[in-house]
Amino acid sequence: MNLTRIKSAHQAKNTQFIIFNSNGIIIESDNILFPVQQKEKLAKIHPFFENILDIITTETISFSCVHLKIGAISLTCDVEINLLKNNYYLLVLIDFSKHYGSFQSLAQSRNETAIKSEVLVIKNEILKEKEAFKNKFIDNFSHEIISPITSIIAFANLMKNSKLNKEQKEYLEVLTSSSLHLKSMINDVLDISKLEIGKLEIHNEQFNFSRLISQIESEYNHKCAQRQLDFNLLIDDKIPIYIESDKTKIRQLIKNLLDNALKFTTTGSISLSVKNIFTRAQRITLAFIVEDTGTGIKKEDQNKIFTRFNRLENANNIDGVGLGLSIVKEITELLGGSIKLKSEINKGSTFTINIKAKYPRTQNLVKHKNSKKLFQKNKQKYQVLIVEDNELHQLTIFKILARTNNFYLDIVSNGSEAIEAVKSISYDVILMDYKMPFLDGLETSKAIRNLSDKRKNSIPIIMATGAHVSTELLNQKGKDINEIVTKPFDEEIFINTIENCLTQ
Amino acid sequence: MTTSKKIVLLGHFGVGKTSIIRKFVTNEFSSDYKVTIGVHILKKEVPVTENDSVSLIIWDLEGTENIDLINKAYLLGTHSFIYVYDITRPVTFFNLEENVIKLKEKFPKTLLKTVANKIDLIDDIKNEKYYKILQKTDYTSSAKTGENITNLFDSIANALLS
Repeated sequence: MNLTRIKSAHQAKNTQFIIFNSNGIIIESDNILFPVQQKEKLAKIHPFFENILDIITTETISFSCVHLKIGAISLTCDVEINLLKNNYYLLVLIDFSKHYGSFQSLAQSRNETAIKSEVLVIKNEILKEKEAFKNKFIDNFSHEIISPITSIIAFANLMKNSKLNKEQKEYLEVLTSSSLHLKSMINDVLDISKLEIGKLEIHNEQFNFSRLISQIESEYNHKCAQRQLDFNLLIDDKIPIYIESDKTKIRQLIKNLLDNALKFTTTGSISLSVKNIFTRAQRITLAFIVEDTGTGIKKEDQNKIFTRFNRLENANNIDGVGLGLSIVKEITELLGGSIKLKSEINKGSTFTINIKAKYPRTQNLVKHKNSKKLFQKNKQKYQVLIVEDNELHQLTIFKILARTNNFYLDIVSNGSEAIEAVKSISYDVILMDYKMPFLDGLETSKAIRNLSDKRKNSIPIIMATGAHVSTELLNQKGKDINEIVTKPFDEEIFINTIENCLTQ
Repeated sequence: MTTSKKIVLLGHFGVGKTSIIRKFVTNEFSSDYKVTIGVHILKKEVPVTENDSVSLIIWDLEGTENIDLINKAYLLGTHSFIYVYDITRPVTFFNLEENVIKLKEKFPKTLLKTVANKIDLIDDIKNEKYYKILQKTDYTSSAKTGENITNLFDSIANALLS
């Protein structure tokens, strides 16, 4: 046995040797892979061999994986060109067609997978862009609608205090309730768009929970009485006065459930129970139970009611777009809670929400003052700057504040005028609109905070915004701005906020 | 007189280098993607004047995002590079400038043309998403529709002969 002979016999099967001269003329070939003729020009065999004479040097040149089609023969070879003596060259072609063939399948699948995943990323980005555009559109559109509604509601409230006859009062009532209904639907759409993009965030704060429940009680006592329904509030003794959670969202959850009960109850009663389910280490699980004697929901429909834009057959004569309960479910889940429904057709429904919250050990951390009383006691007048570009909103704020007789009011309609006004007059508080052209409320506040005069750069700033408070704005609370009030203004909350800022 | 010139197509995988060559050489197009490994070499003669023509020896290289990884022998004796990217896949052009600089440093005398392929898949070419990269690109092309394919090779043939 001769290993050298075996080796050379083995290599001989897939290797062709060709000797050619410096003119590219074939001198000799063993024709193992494909036939060539002596004195044939190498360049004629395949385009690969063209330009070869331009690149050959004294060093060996190696090409891997060269695809050659010579006549009917297709090969994938590694190619080597070596300089021999007397300007003769040796061309070595090693056929690795089988090896490269299997590599080709691997590369094919690797590249296809990579391209598919790239395309998915791109498609996802396009979808996100479209979604962002849609949400931005909804946001802007809703904001544009909210502004005039804000004015309608505010002026309707102001009108309530003027001299009206019975018929006018009735018209005003319809005007107010329709506006509030429209506003609530727009807010629902805004909530859904925010939930969709994960922008609806939880903002926990310590607040007077028992006051919130009292406010809800007073509102729904009135609403139920208007429809000749009884409203019952049952509060567990173990409920703390203060809790730490997202006040706005808890209010929204309870009100959405109560509004839903109101829609489907024509006789009987609606009750709200608040229970302490579990307390441990300053953590509390609260249950809100809303029970009605309304139309009830069929068993087969009970799963559907929490899906968006779903309106049941018996809801055809009821106002709304079918978002209320889906928002309740999603916000409950956002708060780490759960919702359950028990319902019997023609007997009524019971919705139970459990949410987790924190409660402070000391239950008197947050002081609440009755602003109206304080202002009534106090004869001092305060200098207030109103920065608002919308004339109707200017008038609304002016009317609300003028009634207390505690303020000197200056009104400007943009950020630049506000900065100039602050420079020349010593204000006690600034009421700033958030969305203004050119310099918006936050930019203007920042500019005021950057003034060198310490007294002027620390004037309390209250930011007035639409019903949905942006995260950007919330992050600035306690920094460039002191307080946030939402439009349409609740007169009492509005005055209370100003008073809080003035006494800080 | 016919002069032989070597053209090398470079760029990421799947950008359509093979399709561009196929469209130019045989006027065929297939939307099925078949990966290229190693190198395929094709040839086409382009008349430049009444008496002169250029025989373009077109090297279709395996796609890679990093030109440093290309077998150096493949690039020897190149008269013109065509760097192709896919306008629909940003990953294929995010390092275009870097690769162009490298090529110009290593082959300062070699002609280089950049091509944004698959332009037929773009609705709005003026969209700012594409504007910046297209400003740095010599040709837009579509192997599918044939847009600019002949122009590309003709202009290279002309430039090489002059």
